[in-house]
Amino acid sequence: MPRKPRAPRARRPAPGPRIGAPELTLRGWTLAGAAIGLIVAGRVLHVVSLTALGIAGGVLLALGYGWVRRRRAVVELNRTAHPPRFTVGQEGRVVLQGHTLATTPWLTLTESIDGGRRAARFVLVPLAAGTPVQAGYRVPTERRGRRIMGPALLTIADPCGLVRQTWAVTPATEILVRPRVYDIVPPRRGGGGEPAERATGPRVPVVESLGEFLGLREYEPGDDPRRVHWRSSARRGELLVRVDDAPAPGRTVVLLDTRADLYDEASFEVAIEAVASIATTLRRTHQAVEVVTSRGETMRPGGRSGLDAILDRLAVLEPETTDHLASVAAALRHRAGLGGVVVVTGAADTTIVDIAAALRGRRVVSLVVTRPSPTPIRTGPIPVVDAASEPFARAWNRALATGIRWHPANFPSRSRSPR
Amino acid sequence: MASRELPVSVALAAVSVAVALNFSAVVASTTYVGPVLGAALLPHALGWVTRRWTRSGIWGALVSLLGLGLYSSALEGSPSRILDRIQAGWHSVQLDPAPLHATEAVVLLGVLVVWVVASVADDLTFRREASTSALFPALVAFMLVRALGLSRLWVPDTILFGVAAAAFLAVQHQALIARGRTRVGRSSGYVAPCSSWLQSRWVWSRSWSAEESRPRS
Repeated sequence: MPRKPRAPRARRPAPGPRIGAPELTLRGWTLAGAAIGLIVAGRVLHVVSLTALGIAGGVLLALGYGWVRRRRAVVELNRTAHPPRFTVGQEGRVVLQGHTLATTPWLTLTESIDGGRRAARFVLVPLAAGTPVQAGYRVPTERRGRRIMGPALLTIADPCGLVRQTWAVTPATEILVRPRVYDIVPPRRGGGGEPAERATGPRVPVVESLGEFLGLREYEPGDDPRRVHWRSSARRGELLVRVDDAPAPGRTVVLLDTRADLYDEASFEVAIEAVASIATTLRRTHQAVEVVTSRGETMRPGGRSGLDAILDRLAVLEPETTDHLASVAAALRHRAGLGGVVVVTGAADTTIVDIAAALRGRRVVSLVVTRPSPTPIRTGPIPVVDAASEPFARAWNRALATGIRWHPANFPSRSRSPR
Repeated sequence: MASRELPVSVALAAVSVAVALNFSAVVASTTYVGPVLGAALLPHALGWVTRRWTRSGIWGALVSLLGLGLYSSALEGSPSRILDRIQAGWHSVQLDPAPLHATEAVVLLGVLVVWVVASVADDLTFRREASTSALFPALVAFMLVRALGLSRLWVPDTILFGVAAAAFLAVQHQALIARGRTRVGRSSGYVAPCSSWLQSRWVWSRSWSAEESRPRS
C-alpha cells in the first residue's frame, strides 16, 4: 500500500531571547559547562591549575553579567513602511529610523518578520550619542495578507559574547499586503436602460451624451473625439470636450463567493484580485461600488479612503465554510438602486448560477469564474468572464469589448440608496 | 577579510603558545621551547596563508600535514627517523616519571601534539566559525600535560593560558558579530574589543548611515 505523503509541517517561529534581563549566550553556556568540568577535573586529578582555570571561566562570566547589566537601551527607533500600503508583486520596504541616545558599543538589531518566521539582522557599529541611524529591509510581497513586523530587538553582549541583554526598541506593527490590482477597462455606461435625462436622484458629470450640457473641460487622452467642442476649442486654442450632467447610475455590487469548496488556493487569489480590480476601476470612474461576500459581509467605500478600506479587507479575506449566500442574494434581489451585479466565484455551481439568474431583471449581471467547473453549467444569457483559462484582466477586457454593458437601473427609489 | 582574521589568528596563536610553554610541567629542561614554539606558531601562519588561497578544509588539512612533515624532517634531519623517534618518545612518556628528559624523541612528540592542537583549533575557528569550542583542543592538551606533569610554574602558565583564551574569545566575538548581519554605520576596519572604554569612544561615523538587509528565514 503506497504511503501517504506527509503534509509539510508548519514552521514555528524560533523562541526569541529574554527581553530586558541578562542571559547567557550559547557561548556563555559552553564556557559555564567547561568551567564546571575544569573545577571537577581539578578536584579529581588534584591539579590546582585546572581548578584555577575553571574559576577564571566563572569570573569571566560574572564580569560579563555585570558589564551587560549596567547597560541600557541606547537607540531609539521608529518603523515606517514605504509605500505605506504594500501590494502583491510591488517592492515594499520597511525602514527603521532613529538615533542613538548615548555613545554605543557594538549592538545587534534583529527585526522579526512574519511573527518570527523571518528576520532582518543588522549590526550597529559603535556610534556617538545623537547619531541618526537608519536601516531598511525589503518585505516579501509575493503573497497578500497580514505581516507582523517586529518587534525590533536590540541586543548588547559583553566583549567576549558570553552574556547578552535584549530590549524591544520598537513594538510590533501590522502591515497589509494588498491584492494585485489590474488595470482593466471600466464598465461602460449607456445603452438601453439608462436613466432618463431628467430623472430625479443624484447626478454626476459625464463625457458621454447622456444628459444636459454642464460645461467644458480640457481634452484628456481616451476621450471620445466626437465630444470635442470645436467652436470653443478654436476660441481657446486647445481641445475642449463637452461634459454633460447625467443622472448617477445605480450602485454596482461585486458579490464575492467565498465558499471554500469552490476554490483552490490559486483560484481564490484570482477571485480576490478580480474583486479588487473591479472595485478600483469603478471607483476610479466615480461609480458607486460595494463588495458583498457570500458570508454576508458588506464592504462599502465611504469617502476618499473607502477604496482603501475595501482593499485592506480583501488583503486578509480567506475562503470560509460559513455560507449565507441565499440570504445575501435575497437581500440584493429586493434592494433598490442597484445598477449592476458582478458575481465573482471559483468553480461555478448551480447555486451561484441560479442566484445570478435571479438577480437579473433590470440589472446587468455578469459572472466571473476563476476555476474550471468539474461539470459544465449552463449560464444562459448571463455573460461569463472566464478567468480560469486565461488571465483575469485579459478575460475581463475581452468580455467588455464584446458586449457587457452596464445598464444602470432607473428606479425612482435610487436616490435613497446610500452612497 | 584578511585584516579581520589577523587579530584572531594572533590570539589563537597566543593560546597555542600557552599550551607549548605549559610543557615545562613535563619536560626537565628548556631545550624543548624553540621547536615546540615553532610548532605552535607555524600552523597558524600556514593556515592564514592557505586561507588566502582557498577556504577548503581538505586543502587546509593537507597543507598543515605537509608542513608538519617538513618541520619534523627539518628537526630530525631525515624523514625516515621520524616514526622511530615518535615510538621512542611515546615509550618514554609511558615509562619514565615526570619530568622527562628533553630528548629529541620527547621534543618531537611535543611538537606533534602542539602542531595538531594548533591546526585543529585553526580549522575550528576559521572554517567552522567556532569560538569556545575552538579552545577545547588546547584545553584538553593543557589538562593532560598538567595532569601528567609537575605543578611547577603553574601560576604563570595558567594565567598565560587564561588570558590568551579570554583574548581569543573577545576578538573572535568581534569577528563573528557582524557575520550574517548587515552593517549599519561606517567602520574603518577592525576594533580591539576588550575595553568598553575603547568601544564607547571609538566612533566610526558621525553621519547617519542607511543600510538595507534582505530578510532571511
